[in-house]
Amino acid sequence: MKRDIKIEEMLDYIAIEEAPKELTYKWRAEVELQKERKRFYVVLLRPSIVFPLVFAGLWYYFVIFKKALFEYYLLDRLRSLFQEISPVFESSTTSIASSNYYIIGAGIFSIMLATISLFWFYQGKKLKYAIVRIW
Amino acid sequence: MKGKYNNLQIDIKKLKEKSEDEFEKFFKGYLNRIYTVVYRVVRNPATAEDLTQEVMMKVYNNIHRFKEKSQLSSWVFRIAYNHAVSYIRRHRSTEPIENYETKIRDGSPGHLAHLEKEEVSNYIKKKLMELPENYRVALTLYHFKEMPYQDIAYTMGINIGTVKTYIHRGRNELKVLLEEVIGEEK
Repeated sequence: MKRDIKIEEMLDYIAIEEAPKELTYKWRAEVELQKERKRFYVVLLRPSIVFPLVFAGLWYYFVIFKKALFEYYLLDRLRSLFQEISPVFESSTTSIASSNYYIIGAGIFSIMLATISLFWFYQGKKLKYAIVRIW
Repeated sequence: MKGKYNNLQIDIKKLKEKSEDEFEKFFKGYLNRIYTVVYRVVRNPATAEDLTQEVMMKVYNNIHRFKEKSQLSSWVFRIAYNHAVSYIRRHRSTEPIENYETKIRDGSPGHLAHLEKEEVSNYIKKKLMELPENYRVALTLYHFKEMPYQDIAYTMGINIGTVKTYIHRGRNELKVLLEEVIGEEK
């Protein structure tokens, strides 16, 4: 038994599906979440990469180009400070100052900072992705 | 610049300035159509819902790339279509297809004469979903009404001649699938 159905009319009738209405609100929430993630990225993650690099850069600048200044402030003044605190610190600063150890030390310190930063950065990124879907 | 879409006055400049109220207005007006484009490709309502959400975010984040050479709606449908197609390519044959038959009291076509319009439309939707992807998307877009062939071609990334062929063949294949149900067209 055939029914009097016009295919064009039916296609017009069924052309548009009904989407769940809450999608618009979900979109709005997602936008807010995206802003929050951006803030999280800029405020917490970006400095974790930028600051150690700036710090390492300044460190190398003083070690290599402003050696006298570096030695005066960081070693001589530091040594005298340590002298007042404890003679144990004094001997260690003397041994560092007497060789090129401080350059190697600066390198190790920077690499260590960079490693910690990268670890923090990727942990942070993971956290960022973990909060992508809240519903 | 103002654009008129489905009787909606959308300010593209405001969209490019990321006005959320303007986006909300646009999405409220076009949500069903975006969802339909995605759904016709993926054939699964839950997946279509997720992908529609992603499309909305894509549109929001990439609106500055809209060059205004096409209709905003076509540009959005194109994003939706490409997003759904790339999803299907990644998840081919792993997605279940919604079974419209479950919504029909009795699946036998002869029984359709006694069914309500809603149930018949479900049956036709089911048959539409059996068509090849290109045919069902072209037919769907064509029946959005306000879309000219040129916009359908732009959305699907094909030329106008191919769009006409898809629509013609799609309609014929659908007629064959529904020949037990429908009467003669005038």
